[in-house]
Amino acid sequence: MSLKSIWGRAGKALLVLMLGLAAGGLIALSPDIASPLVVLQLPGLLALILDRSPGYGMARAVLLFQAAACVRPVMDAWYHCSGVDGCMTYLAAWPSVARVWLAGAVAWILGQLLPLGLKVWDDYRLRDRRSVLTARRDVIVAEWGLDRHRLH
Amino acid sequence: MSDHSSVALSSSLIAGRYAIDTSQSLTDAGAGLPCFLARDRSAGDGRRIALAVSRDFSPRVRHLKALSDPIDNLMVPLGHGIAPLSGSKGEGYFVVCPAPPGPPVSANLNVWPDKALLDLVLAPIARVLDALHGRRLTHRAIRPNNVFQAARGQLVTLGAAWAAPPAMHQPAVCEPPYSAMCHPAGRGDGSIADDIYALGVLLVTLAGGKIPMANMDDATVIRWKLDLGSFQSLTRDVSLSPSLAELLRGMLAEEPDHRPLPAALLDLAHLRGRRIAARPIRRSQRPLMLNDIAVFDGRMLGFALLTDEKKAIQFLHNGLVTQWLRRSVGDATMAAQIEDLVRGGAADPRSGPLAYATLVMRTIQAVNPRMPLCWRGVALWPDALPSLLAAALCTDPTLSAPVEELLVNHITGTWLPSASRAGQPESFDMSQYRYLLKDGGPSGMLRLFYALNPLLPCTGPGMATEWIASLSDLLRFLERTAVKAGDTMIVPPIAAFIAARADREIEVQVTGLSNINDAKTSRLPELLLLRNLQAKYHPAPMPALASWVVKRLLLDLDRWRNKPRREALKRHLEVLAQAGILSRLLTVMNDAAARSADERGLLAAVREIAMIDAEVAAIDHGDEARLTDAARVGQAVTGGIGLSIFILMVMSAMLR
Repeated sequence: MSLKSIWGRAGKALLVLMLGLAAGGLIALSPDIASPLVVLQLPGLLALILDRSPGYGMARAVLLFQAAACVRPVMDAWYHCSGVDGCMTYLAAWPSVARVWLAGAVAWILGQLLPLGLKVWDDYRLRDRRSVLTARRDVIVAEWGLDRHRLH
Repeated sequence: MSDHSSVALSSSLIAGRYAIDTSQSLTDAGAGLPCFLARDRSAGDGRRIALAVSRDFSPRVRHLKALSDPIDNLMVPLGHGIAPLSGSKGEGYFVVCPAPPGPPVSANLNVWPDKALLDLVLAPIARVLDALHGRRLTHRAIRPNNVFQAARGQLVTLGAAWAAPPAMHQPAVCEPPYSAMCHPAGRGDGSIADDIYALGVLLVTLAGGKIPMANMDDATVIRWKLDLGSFQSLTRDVSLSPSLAELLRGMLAEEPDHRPLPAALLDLAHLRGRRIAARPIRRSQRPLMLNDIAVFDGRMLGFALLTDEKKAIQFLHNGLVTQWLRRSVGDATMAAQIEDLVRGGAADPRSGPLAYATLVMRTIQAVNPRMPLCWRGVALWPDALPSLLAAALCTDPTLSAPVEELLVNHITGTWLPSASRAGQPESFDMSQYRYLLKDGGPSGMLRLFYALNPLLPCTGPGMATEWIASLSDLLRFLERTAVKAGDTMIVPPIAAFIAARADREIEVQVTGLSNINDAKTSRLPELLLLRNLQAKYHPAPMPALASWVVKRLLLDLDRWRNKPRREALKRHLEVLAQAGILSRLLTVMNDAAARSADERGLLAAVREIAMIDAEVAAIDHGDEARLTDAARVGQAVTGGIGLSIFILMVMSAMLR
């Protein structure tokens, strides 16, 4: 096993540990905030469960987008609500939920479209490279009288 | 006349001064050889004659070189060389001589008185022979139609004898029997005694007013001379004065040493006191019949053995010859000598196919040491081998086998000439030419023919009307015919010609070329040979030949792999061909550094194509991997965007 993979696995475990500690700390310090936050992050958590890609790239993107969308509602809820019911009412209201889930959807759509775009751009670049190579090959074959079929 | 035409005219002159008019044939001046009118452009009295040299028989090269000064009463060679024939019939080789003073004495034969014979014929010709003898030369063409007289009472002039092999056109009656029995091309230079003999026959002819033995064929003449003796045979129906008969008896003596020298003929008073008695020959009373020849003595026995080899072998093996020698001739010593030869290794058929021929040769030499070399029915003097070889290859195919055996087995080296002939100058040393036979393979004889007959032309295709005698001439011919030349120029006859006339280095090159049977493989060696020939023997521009060479080189152009370089090379060769120097063409074609660069370029091209193919294959087959990569990168970028927005939102919330 290489040193790089050992560091990669250790870093991943550390990340999971830090996220677990952060989640546990949040639940311990402020369970009234943590409960509605689970509702807001629900699509991201589902994505984390369903994502089969290596490194959970899609789930990570969805969680990060939703996290960014949660920052302002959580800050508001921190100062303006109290109790699990109050905060649930404040944070899990449809406008907040819709905005956060929309951010998750945007992340998902972006995660689907960006690879397609990259693939199309790469195909275009390689097609151009291939035509350059083929032309160069034809020139060499003509210049040296080489048997095209034999070389293929 | 324009400069161009004057140059052309001067090039057709022999020795730069003799112009030949082949439209004017002179029937009586050439003693049987084709003879034409010639003009000396540098002399007031410019009338000369030109004797045409046969394409098959060499003129006498040694005499042409040695006879540079005039000799009174002799038509000495003034020049020799190639001249055009009239009517655009090609070229011929001519020997230019002074014009004869009048018709030949054979034109109007009558009885000459003794005084006229001695003063007008014997004296001037003896002086001529004395001058030739002083130069170690012979004439060998003294016959009535080659002796000329301006008018009655004038000294006769001896005609030319330089345009054909020695004694080749001599009738048998004019030759001693041991020369007459030889093949006409095999008589050799002989000795001055042979000329004295021919002069004696001339005197008999003029004394009798008729050709002696005129109604006999050559074999009969020889048999009569051997049987009766030359003097008796020639003078039997001619009335001679006692003094002239005495003189002629000496001149026609059978033994060459017994004939007077030319200087002695100039002092007849002293000569009358000189008489050499010939040793009597043992004769039998009962003849040995060998076919239709009745053999009475050793001289006739030698001739009879020569005429029929099979019968000779049969007679030797069944002992008839030795029995006859013992019982009828009484020569037991000779019989024992022949028995030794028969019993010896030479008679053993297991010793090789030459055993019987060797036996007959040695037996003839034993019974009559004056006989010429006799091999398979052909008699010759060894110094005549060059002209005999020419006869074998050009005019008489039946001679090919015996002549080849003589040359390949070096028979002449083992044959010992009689004492009277041993001191004669040989016109060539056979041993120095043996490498031509050895190296030449099937063309060895042809190579030897060209080497031993240096003035004779090449017999290659298309040369029948041209006289190609030197390598320079050959290269000019190749230049003229290059336009319509086929795949190869150095065909076997031309290869043999080059090997014989060129130096040893070229000869080795020709031998190497001749050993290659594949036309494609022989292409480059042939071109290299032409290049070396031009450099050594004709260093002048030859654009037509160069164009032909370029065509041949272009067939090998595919050895160059780079197409643009090939095209450039082709254009370069075509430009160089106009200059006509073959070495430049081959230097360009065989440039080792350029060839190496071309090979390296080819390898680099192959490597580059392999890399391109690998990259194209990777492009064609890497679609799925690229899709995976794109998904991974796209999600990572999306995650990065999300992280950035998250950090901005946190900072914005904290700073508010």
